[in-house]
Amino acid sequence: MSKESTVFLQRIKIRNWAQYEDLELEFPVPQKLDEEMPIIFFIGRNGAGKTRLFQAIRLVLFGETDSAFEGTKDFFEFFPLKKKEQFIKKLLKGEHIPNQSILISLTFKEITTEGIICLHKFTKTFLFSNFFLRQKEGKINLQYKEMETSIKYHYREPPNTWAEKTENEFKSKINLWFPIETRDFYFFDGEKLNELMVKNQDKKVKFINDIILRKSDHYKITQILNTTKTLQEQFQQKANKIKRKNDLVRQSQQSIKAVEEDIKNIQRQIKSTEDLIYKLKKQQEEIENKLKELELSKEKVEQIKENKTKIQQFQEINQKLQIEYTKLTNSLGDNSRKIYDFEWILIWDVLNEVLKDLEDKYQKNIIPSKLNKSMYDVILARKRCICSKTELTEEQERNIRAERELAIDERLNDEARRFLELLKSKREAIPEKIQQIIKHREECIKHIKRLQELGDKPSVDENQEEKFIQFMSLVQEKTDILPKLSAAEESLKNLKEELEGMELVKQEELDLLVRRKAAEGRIEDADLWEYVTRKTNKTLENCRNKLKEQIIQYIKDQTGTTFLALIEPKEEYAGVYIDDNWNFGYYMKDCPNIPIVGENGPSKGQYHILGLSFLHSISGTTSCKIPIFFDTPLGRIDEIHKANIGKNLPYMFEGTQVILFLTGSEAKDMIEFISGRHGYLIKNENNYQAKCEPIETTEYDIEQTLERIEKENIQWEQQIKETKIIVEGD
Amino acid sequence: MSKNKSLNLNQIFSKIKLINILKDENIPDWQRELIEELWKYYEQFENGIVLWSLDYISDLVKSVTEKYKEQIEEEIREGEKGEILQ
Repeated sequence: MSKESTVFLQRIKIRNWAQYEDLELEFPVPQKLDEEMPIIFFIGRNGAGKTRLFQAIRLVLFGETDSAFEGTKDFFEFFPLKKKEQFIKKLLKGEHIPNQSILISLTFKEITTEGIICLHKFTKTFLFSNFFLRQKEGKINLQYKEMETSIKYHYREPPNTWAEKTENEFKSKINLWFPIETRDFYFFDGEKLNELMVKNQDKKVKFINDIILRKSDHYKITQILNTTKTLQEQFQQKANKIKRKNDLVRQSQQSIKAVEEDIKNIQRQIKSTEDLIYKLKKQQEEIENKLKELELSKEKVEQIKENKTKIQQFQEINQKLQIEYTKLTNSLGDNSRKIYDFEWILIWDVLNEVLKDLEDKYQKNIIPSKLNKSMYDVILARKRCICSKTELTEEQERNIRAERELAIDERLNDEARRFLELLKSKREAIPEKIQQIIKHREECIKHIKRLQELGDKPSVDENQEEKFIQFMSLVQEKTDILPKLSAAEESLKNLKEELEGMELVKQEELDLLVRRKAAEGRIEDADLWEYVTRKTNKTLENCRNKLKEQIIQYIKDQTGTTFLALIEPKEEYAGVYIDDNWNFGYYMKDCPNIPIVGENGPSKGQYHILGLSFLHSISGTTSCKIPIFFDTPLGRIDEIHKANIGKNLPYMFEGTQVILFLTGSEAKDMIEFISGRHGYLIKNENNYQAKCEPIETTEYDIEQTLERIEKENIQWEQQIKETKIIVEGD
Repeated sequence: MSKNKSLNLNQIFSKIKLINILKDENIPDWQRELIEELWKYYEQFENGIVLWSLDYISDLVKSVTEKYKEQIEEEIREGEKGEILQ
């Protein structure tokens, strides 16, 4: 309901609905929006068919006769009774009953603010077929076997012809004009208003939300936002996509930069390695030059090497000989001592043997005592001398020898002689041994002398050796350079390979960059568009929220204003209270801070006025003005308020088509309001065939009509009583 | 019978409009222009003059952005500054 327009009910066509066998009404409707809006009212006695007409309209539009409708109703119940009776009679006679239908058709005229006029025709038909009779509890009932429902929607934009629309289009149009939550307000049943105001909390909230949604500008903003939000998302996606692409380009650029940096490093390393190689080669060259200067042939070097080895060997031999010489020198001294000692050992052994022999003999008294004694003393003295290991003086030795000679006296016995001979033979062997040692010693001395001669004479000259040392150090230096050089060359080779690899990587990255750059977008624009739509959407949302707040405030304020215009006594009321959950109440002037709400809140009459005020305020909020149908609009309110409402009603729904279904007494209370409007009298003389006739609507004529209705009411009530008596009498 | 003006809803309610809210809003020129253009376009669509097109609205946004590019960029920079300061 985005376009601002006004909708009027222009025509009603009914067939076979309750009291209406065949009804066609054409209401006066304006040709332009600025024309005065005709108010239509129906009056009729009780049971004439006002509510049935009201229900017929609801049935076409919403498929229900009232808000309590549960959707399983057998609409054949609404088929005219008189016809049903005729069919029963025919069936009893065995006659065939053709298919029958209930048809209700409503034509609405819509005028937009631009003056475009459209017509909408909604038709609902119930087709009943295969009739038969059924007896139940002693009564005969007319039944049918099949029922078909057809819903038609025709649309016309003059001067074009009518076009048939689908059933879905029918429903969506009706939902657009009369959203479910609003139906009980636009089909205002005075008897049920109280219930609607107090109990149907959810309905009210939904209804108000629906009103806000349908408020022209609010609706437009929502529609625009639906698109601009999609657009914002698209721009956002685009900006993100471009950002991602540009990030990739940046990544490529960064990696190229890194590769270039690496290449530079490698190049620096290559340069320093090349420098190193150059230096090493130069050093090598210098060494070679120096070696050339030394002019040593290979043979010479070999000879020098050999000489050097020989020198070392001689030195070693010399050293060994020196040791041996020392050993031999020492050995010579030892030999002298050995010779001497050996002599005395021999003597000692002999002496011991002699002594032992003598002792034996002495003990056996074999040896003459004189010799024995002197001999014994000599031997003991010698023994002591040897034991003390003191050197014998020449004198002592002479004495010993003299003693020995003395011993070798003729007077010595055989034993003494044998001893001396043994001693002599042993002594003769000693010089031979001594001679051998002396000989060995001489050989040693001779050998030492030869060695000394050899060792003291070096065979290499000093200059050559110096040269050789220098040469060898250069050779060593040259040898040290070589691994360094080969390592540097290896490293250079690796670095060059690495550089080559890096160059390849750089080329690949460059290619990638070119490709990515080709896909690169204008990030700034997409970002700007996203920003623009985002900000605009935010502003539109803010505006929509403000609109909502203003609409709600307007409804609350306007409900208060209308309530104060309708309520009596005015001086006692301060205003209307409406909470966030749309609970209604009011303030009294005596206690302006305490709302009268809830269980001890408004009376049924006050709720009626609050409901009417609320309806009035919300009727001003819709961009599309749709007709309001009032059934018994004054319900249970008192005389003062009836008059007040009657007086104000023309202004409350200005610009909206109002269709009233009034009882006689309501018409009387609203006579001031309905006079001069378009009135219809529902006539239903035989209670089966109602007709709607236009009536004169001067106050006088209305009063006359109402008097007639009053009489009819009395007659009708009488008729009902009589019918009851007849039924009971039967 | 005197006419009760406070009950004439058309006059009162007609003031609740986007255009009136926009008047009170402190919004930049480019936003005002874009909203007005969107509004005009919607009304054209509503009157059956044009079809609703996302591309058209996209072009609308782009042209307004182009027209007020400097102003918008300045606004974004100011916004970023504000965010940094916060």
